[in-house]
Amino acid sequence: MQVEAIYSQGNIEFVKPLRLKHDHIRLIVNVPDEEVELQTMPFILSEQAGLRAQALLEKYQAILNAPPPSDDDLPELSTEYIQRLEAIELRAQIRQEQGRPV
Amino acid sequence: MDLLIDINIILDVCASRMPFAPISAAALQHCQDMGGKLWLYTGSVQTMEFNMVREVQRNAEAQLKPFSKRQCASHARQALKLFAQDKHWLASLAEEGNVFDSPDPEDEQLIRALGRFKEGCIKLLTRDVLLCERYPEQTISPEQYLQLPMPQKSIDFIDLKTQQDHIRPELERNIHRVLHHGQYVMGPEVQQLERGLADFVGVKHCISASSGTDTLLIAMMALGIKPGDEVITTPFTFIATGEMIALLGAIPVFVDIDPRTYNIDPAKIEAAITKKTKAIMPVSLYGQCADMDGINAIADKYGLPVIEDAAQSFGATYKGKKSCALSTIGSTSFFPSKPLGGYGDGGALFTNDDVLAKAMREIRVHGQDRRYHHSRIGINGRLDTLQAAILLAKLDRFDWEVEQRQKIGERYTELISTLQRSVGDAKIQSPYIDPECTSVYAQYTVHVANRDQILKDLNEKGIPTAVHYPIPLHLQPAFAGANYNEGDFPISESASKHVLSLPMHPDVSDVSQKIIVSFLLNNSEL
Repeated sequence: MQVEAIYSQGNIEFVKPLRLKHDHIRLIVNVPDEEVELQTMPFILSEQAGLRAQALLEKYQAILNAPPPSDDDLPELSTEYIQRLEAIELRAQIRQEQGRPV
Repeated sequence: MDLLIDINIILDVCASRMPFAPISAAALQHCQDMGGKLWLYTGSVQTMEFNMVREVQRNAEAQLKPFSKRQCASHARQALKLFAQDKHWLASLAEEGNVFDSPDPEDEQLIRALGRFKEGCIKLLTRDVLLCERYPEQTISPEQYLQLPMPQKSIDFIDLKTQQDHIRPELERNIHRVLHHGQYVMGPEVQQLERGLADFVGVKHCISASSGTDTLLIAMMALGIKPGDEVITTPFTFIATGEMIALLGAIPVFVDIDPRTYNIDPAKIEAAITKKTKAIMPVSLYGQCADMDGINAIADKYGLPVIEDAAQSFGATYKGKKSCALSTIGSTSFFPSKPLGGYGDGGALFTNDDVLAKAMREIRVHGQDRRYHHSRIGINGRLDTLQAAILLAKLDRFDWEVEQRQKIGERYTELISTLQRSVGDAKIQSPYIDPECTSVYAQYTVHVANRDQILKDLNEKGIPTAVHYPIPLHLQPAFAGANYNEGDFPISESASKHVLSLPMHPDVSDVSQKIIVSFLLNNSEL
């Protein structure tokens, strides 16, 4: 479900109070593009180097945005693999709580 | 400065995480532009992968794309594979294993891995403020990195580090194999290398040895050279050539060189042959073979064996044949700075003669023909298994390196010629390469009129140089007893006053060559 929330200094608060089953859950939040402050670069990078860095990012964006192969063409993920994925989620949560980047 | 890349930076770039991606990508790009190397830690692979899958999943969800876990994993691996393509892998070593007392074992591993490098030449690139606070000397953020003043990359005379970075996985694999099987003397790598080298040269036998000096000694011992015998060689070479003759009690008989190639002049050999002459030992100086047909013809006429001292010419060719395959015995060196160099001393002998091969194999191991049975006097002259393992890793890349050396040598010659033409001057003489030879340019050595001044100027500008060799052997104090005098070999003596070697290795860049040549000719317009 989609609900309205207010972001304020690192915290998100629902406009209408909502009772949730768990204390800790994952949410997808829509942030208006115009609110995202693009990092200003306090250094001098040659135009060419900047363009190359941009081109580098575009390569990865192309991979991320490409249509994925059909599930049938991909090898099955083992239970272990899926468990590790869940474990990495836990690592990410811990680091976020510590204020560290993932 | 090199950078070890923390996972958060990898994810910034591979998952295009905003707002961090541009500055993280810029830092990586800047590092490469400045000649630095980007390293990934092998111990981080799993964390890297699973976090990337998580990022792909988040990205897909944000775009309302219903990606399965399998599809996320597929995209994640594709992105990481691309990312790793131009990076160097830093192996996780045993010392980085027991990190469980650390508040953060993952960080501890990375910090310990950095300890292997020379201080100040690498930092961990990370956005993790806590990590930066805990290890301020070892870490750097992308912002800090981009604000660092970047010193100009220095020019190396020989750059073994770049070569090592390119073959690190093979080197580590080979070295670890030896550590695990433990056959440190005459292990399987020694035989494997000997087979590979014999195939490369195109001869029947290769006998590896402890150095390119010991190979000369072993070769002469196998030929039965004894005190009082004479061996004809060049005075314009490294001491080892004459030294090993003298060590056997034999007499080095010097013959002057060809002024174009700096190699022994065959036209002058015959006059030096006496009844005591037992061998001719030409040196293939600077990476180009001597005139072996001319030398072999004289040797045949007098029934003399020829030992090619090919310490500098391994990989070069003479009339389509490889150096070391051109005479009775070929001898080369694997000293680190040689075209095929190890990480210590080493050498090899080559021959098609079964009897000589057997003798050289025995002499290499105390004259032993079977365990604890010594058929002749020999030396302790084996190549270490570890050196063989290292050389095997280098041999895989050697053909490419030879090609590069030739391109770089030709480019030096072209740059020097172009610039001298433009200023109407010809004070620098490039190496002469015989049309029937290829040189492996162990050194790129020019002939200059005012060497002292040029040496001083180049050194002041940070261009490393060397002189191969400043004193010919006949004027060395060690050979004072041989009764040679100044003026006996005028071409060698003149060469020793005018030759100058420039930086040469397979990774010299075009830009470095332009700088070197422009300083060499004292002209900044190039």
